[in-house]
Amino acid sequence: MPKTAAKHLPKTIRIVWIWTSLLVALGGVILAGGSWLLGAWFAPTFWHVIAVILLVLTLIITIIDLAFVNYRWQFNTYLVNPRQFELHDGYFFRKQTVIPIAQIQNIKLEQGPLLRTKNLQAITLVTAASSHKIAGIPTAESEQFKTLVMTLAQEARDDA
Amino acid sequence: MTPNATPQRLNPFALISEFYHLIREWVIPLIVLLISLIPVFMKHHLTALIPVLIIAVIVIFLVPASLRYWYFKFALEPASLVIYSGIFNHQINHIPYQRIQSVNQTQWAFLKPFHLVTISVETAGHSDTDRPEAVLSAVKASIYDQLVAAQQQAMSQPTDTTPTPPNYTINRRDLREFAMTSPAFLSVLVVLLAGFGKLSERTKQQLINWAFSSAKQLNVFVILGSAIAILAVFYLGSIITLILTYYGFNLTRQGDHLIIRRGWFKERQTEIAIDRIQAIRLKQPLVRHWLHLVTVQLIVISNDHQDDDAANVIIMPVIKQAAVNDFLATFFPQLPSLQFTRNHDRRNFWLNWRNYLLGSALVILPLTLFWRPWGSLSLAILFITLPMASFHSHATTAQVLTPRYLLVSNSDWFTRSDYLFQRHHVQTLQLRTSLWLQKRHYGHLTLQFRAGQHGKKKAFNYLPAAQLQAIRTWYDR
Repeated sequence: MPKTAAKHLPKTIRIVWIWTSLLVALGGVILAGGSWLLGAWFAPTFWHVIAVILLVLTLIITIIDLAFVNYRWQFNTYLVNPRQFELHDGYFFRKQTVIPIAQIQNIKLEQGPLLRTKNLQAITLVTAASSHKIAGIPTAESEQFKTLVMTLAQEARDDA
Repeated sequence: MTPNATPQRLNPFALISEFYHLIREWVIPLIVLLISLIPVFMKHHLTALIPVLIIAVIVIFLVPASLRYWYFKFALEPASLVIYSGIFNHQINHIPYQRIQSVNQTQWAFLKPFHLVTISVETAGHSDTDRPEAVLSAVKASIYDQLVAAQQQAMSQPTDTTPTPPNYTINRRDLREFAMTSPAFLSVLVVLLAGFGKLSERTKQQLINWAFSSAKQLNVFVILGSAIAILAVFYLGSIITLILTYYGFNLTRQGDHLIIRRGWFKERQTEIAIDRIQAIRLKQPLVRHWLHLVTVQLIVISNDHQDDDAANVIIMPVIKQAAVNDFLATFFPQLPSLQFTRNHDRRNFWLNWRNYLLGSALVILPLTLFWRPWGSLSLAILFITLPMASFHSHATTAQVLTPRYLLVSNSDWFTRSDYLFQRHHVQTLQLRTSLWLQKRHYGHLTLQFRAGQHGKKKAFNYLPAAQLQAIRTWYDR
């Protein structure tokens, strides 16, 4: 079996992750602002406490998210060979998932507005017992990828 | 041309089952209605009318039940089983014999004299209902044979490939041993505890107060004695239930199907296609482990999600550990021989014990701090962690048997399970480790496989890296 090196996701995925966590932060701030405003109508202490808690939580989550963007990119790799997919994840807690192509039932390609701006697609590999997501790879590559998996799956099934 | 090709109704006994299903659908609204009506009846001194009301409800329900019965017909046509149903909205369901995955049969004891059985048919199709594709309640036993014959003919399968098909029937001693070594009675306690948790705070407090105040008046021996007596009653009850459900347990293999018959009051016959088997599980609850006894289960794909047991089918209630290989070889000649091994890895034990201690600290600390003095009783949990860690670490093993087969085992609450997997039935393989564990050359293994309707995962923790690598190579081949 030819050994290919594990691939990183494209660097632009980091921008997508940063924007995602900023948007989540914005949502948190809006919620906090909303509950502060509710305090103007009734139960001021309760709603103000809620608003502060929401704001602090949003801040903590966003900081952690942003701090780990590079870590996530660095230690989130994948590799494909004619027999299987391999996903590697994490440095402190490491996870290695092997998905034989013969077991793949279907592939799902997804593209939200953020991924579209960077021309990336998220891929979900579905087996009969589980599903596994790759956060984003270039659209051109993902199409190739899909055809590759489909032909390999067909061959694997013909062999069986 | 198959006999019974013309549409026919079920036996009138099916009316009982139709009625029962209808009542079961409506039981909660009915009870609510009755309870809310009782005060009204009391107020107007109409209590004498309650039996009349109950009879009225029964009569009202009998009408749709009999209509459903009247409009339900089935026919064994040359190529398919056809089912006609529906009162206003007529439905015709064609089930080609080739598509039938399994035909199961159950028989209630009171229908035995009439030779009537209930047949349920499963296909691979994903239906959204909770029931199998088709259920024929109360039909002549000969219909079952015809259906199975038609299905086997459609699959162009010879009925008997081997001159004498392998066969096993449980004897009295094994049945007794199976019932007596089962920890099922403990699950009654869990159910009771769960029920206690559902009660309101006030009722709970009242119950606890009542228990403490009555405990003060009684002496310790009386309390202990009654606790033991209650457990004994549960234990006896579970023995009787298990004997009745596994009475006359019989397993045979016919071509590519296994057929299981069991039960006294309700006789069941289950058919399993060999290609639906995803793994073989050898299960040993604590007592059976001590006695070197094993229960053999199959993990299968099934569409029946009404029945939890459908994904785990017992094919051998209890067998001596030493005889497992012979048993498996009779029914599955292609399997390699297995060996039960124990893991004597010290590090595995320490790591597990550490986790159990940390986990129990989460329970013990708040209890002892905030619920004085009774909360300190929770310290007793610490004494269980040691045997638990030792049992768990002894049970965690993994061996690559042949290029096709892997035997892995773990334990769950003092029940050891050994799983025998074929490589292509493992959907995905996952290796996990942490920076610290990797330095010590250890890691975890997770396997995902199909079971029941969906998937399942099992984790095997703290295995040496060399072993994990061997499994990885086995899977990569």
